[in-house]
Amino acid sequence: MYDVIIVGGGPAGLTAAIYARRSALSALVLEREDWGGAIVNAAQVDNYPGAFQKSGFGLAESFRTQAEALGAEMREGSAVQLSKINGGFLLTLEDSSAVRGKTVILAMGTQRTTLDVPGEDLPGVSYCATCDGTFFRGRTVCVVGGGDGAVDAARLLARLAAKVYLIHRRETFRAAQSGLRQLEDCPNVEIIPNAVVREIVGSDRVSTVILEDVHSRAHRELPVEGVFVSIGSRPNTSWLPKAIGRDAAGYLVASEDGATSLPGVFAAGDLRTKALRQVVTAAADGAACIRSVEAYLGRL
Amino acid sequence: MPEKVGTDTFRAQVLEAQRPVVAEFYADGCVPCRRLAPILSALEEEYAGKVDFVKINTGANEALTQTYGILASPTLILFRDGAEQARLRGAVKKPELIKWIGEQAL
Ligand SMILES: Cc1cc2nc3c(=O)[nH]c(=O)nc-3n(C[C@H](O)[C@H](O)[C@H](O)COP(=O)(O)OP(=O)(O)OC[C@H]3O[C@@H](n4cnc5c(N)ncnc54)[C@H](O)[C@@H]3O)c2cc1C
Repeated sequence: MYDVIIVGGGPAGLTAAIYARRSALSALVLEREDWGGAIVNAAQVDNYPGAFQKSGFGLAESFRTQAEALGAEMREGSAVQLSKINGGFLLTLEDSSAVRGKTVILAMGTQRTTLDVPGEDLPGVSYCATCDGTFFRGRTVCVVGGGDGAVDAARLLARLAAKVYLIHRRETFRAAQSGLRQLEDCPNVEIIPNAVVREIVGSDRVSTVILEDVHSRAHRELPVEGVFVSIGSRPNTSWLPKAIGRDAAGYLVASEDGATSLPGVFAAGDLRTKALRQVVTAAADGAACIRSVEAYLGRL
Repeated sequence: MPEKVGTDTFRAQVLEAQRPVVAEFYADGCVPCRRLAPILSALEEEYAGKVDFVKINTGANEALTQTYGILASPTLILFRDGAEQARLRGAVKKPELIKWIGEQAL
């Protein structure tokens, strides 16, 4: 039985693994997709101390190699069930295998929200402006969302596309002012506030989006060839037992030391209730959780 | 690693190839493409002599990208006897890719 099983190999999970090994705890990290977590998607990270202008991919890689070099066991697989057993916990993986740990740190992060409207699978719908922006050179596209991701996508696309509509369901934006101001300087960007996408239409690729005004409920058609979606994310917590408390949006409720409502289970990183979801706070959570694990195991 | 092919070499290496060719249309800075890269390299070795693998930078080869109506990177197109036979849009996992190649190319 491992001293600690860490579910999720992002910044929170890998930092927990590093601290676990430094405290001579046996640790297993489970990761279902990308070692390093969500940060692999960042073109460049400028706000993590010591990693100025480093690619997200490079930062993720260095987290992974550090945890591995310190002796954390790394396993690819998706955890699908958590249950209490004598002296600890049992985690079942997608392939029906199981692992046992005296404690568990949940660090599964979040997942991007999809539009969930008819037509969202049509070619021309994208979640990555960096990947697909170039295919819309000289064309008309829209970006859906109101956060930093949406504003960054709109700015990138403004350099390529003939016209960019930024569709946002509210009047005001969550995104940082600096990015918004740069957007206002782009003559080919038009902001459409108070509108939601109801449908994406096209025969073999996107040709139109149908918008609904959130106040009047009136529909209008907007001809576009590309739809870039950036409407936030939700925590990967739906498979957890009810004994682990969460808020209305599904984020795990945890105290500063990471303790959840189920003793022996801790929460670190983007999936927990917190004000700022960044690499630096995820890493800090991971470290704090190991201290709590040590206290729980009576090692302090 | 799959060889880079551009507008000048596309005809000889893809359309006139003796074997089926899996062509990856990718973009710089595209994370799903980076994820796919080691998988394609491994498959290139596994299928040596049976299926060829090439990659096309969509940013540098706009004409090819337009011709094949690429709207997402990565997009994988399987060419056979000079024509497109099948296509996969977006990131795929290795088992899916092996299945696809098995069905379409072998
Ligand atoms: C495009 C983009 C740019 C960003 N730029 C910055 C930036 O510049 N600076 C910054 O500080 N932050 C940035 N962030 C935010 C940052 O990436 C996150 O705050 C951070 O990665 C959170 O770390 P985490 O470990 O909590 O979660 P994640 O990084 O999301 O890692 C969770 C991991 O758990 C895995 N997982 C989920 N469920 C399971 C399961 N059931 N079993 C096994 N594994 C599972 C996931 O595959 C994932 O790898 C950016 C995010 C994005 C998307």
